[in-house]
Amino acid sequence: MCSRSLNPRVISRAIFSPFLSSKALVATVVPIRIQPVRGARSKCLHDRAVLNCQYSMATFSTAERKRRPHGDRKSSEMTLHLKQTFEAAILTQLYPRSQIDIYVQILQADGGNYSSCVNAATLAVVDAGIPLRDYVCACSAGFLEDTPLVDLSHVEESSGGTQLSLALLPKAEHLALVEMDARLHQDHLEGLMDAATRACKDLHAVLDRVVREHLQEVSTQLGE
Amino acid sequence: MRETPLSNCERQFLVQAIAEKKRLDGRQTYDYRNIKITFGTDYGCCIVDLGKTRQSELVVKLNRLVERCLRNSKCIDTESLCVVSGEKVWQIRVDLHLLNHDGNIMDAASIAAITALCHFRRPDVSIQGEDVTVYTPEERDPVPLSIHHMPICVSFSFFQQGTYLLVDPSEREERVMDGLLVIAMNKHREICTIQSSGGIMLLKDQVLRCSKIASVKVTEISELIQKALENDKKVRKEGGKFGFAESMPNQRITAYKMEVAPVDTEDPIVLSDSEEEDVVVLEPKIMKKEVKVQASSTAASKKKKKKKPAH
Repeated sequence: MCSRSLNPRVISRAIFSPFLSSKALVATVVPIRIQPVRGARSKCLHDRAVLNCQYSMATFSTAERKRRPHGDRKSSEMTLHLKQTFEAAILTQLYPRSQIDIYVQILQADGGNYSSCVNAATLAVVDAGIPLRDYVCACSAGFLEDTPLVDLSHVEESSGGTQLSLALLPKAEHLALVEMDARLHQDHLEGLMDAATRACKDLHAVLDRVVREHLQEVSTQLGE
Repeated sequence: MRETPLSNCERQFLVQAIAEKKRLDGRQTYDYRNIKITFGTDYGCCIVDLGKTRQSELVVKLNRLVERCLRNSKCIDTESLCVVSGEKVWQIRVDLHLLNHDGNIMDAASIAAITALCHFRRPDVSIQGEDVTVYTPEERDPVPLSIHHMPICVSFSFFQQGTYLLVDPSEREERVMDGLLVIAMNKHREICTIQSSGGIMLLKDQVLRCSKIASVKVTEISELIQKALENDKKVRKEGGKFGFAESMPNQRITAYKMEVAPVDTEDPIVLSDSEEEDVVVLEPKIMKKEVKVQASSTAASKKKKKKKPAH
């Protein structure tokens, strides 16, 4: 379900596919010092790192071939959300005047786009060695026929029911991002958020296990 | 024009004031600024004043939020917009123009959008077989849109890592806030949209508490919108004057200009009057004259009468 590969050009890359079949590919580049080039210096902050995210969908990722992979409003919104999520989670104070890039590309979109991006990006950032406050686990949840459902597929999302996306830092149960669409009665909100939180915690267990296994593999390879 | 950056001392002052539960304009934590809603002469034009908020990244966020709030919550009955199924349909477009940004444009924009949609009247249509006739407003009264419910956004700003919370942040408060949570609800207590932005960590209880506060605020604002709509309807029916021009306050000084006139500064002010004719006279004299007096006093130093030039 999760696999990582090492490539000399990018520092880390991770593919994450949740229970159904969305796949996201993420590449992060290690914090680079922003060179005093014309224009670039205005972007750098003196006390922390600038986070640069880009989200795009491969043209073959959706059921119909996508004409405009990036630059449309939904992609811009997704980029902003990713940036916001990771600005909260990465310890940017440790890298003043630097820039961290996170590029996400969706290979297969079958619901839960945002969640796959966030989970894959977490793995990539961990692999790159960038310090994080905690794993960032994200999950989508919905409310169809009075039952909270977790990890919605594309069909369930487009049926018009409620859809909640949650990005959670599991240990302290801090929500890095809460986003909800479509109507939901106020009384059901708590139940829905509880279901999404439980799913994120399960995901955290999976991500943790994968990271440790990968680390063991790498260390045994290096050892020999 | 680049906006002026916020100085550190101003930032600290704002945060400290919030820690002491005080806001710059004297409001309480959960208070909204005065909302004023005015309608234009045409159906579907609406101006909302939220305090003085009547304008990148910000535009994208606002656009997506209002779009999700209105479109995904299905507040308008889109099926009723169909004229001939499979062929002709009415297309509704909402244009929002930001006139003045004094904080919390999300709320103002959502109130303006939903009020304009409620206020709007579309031309009446009749279908006879294959023929479709669109009547002009003169021939037949235009028809209102069928709106299921009115979603309204309420913004909450967080300070000091979520310790303090404010409703309806002003522009200064927005500059120092850590993050923003927007909850869109309708008066039936259904949540239409939740959106958190900025890099803050929230707890589940905070989100639930905000939703409770939001439901109270939304009921108040919905009543306000209903009243404004009814007032406008009444005025139009009675043939009174309506429109944006009527909403401008009359007899308000918009500019003040005075003619350039010389000011007389020659009058001396007598301070004390002692017996020995030692009169100290304060005279606002210009530099040149001062020198002159000095010269004269040296020449006549024996005289008791002194004239001290004003400083």
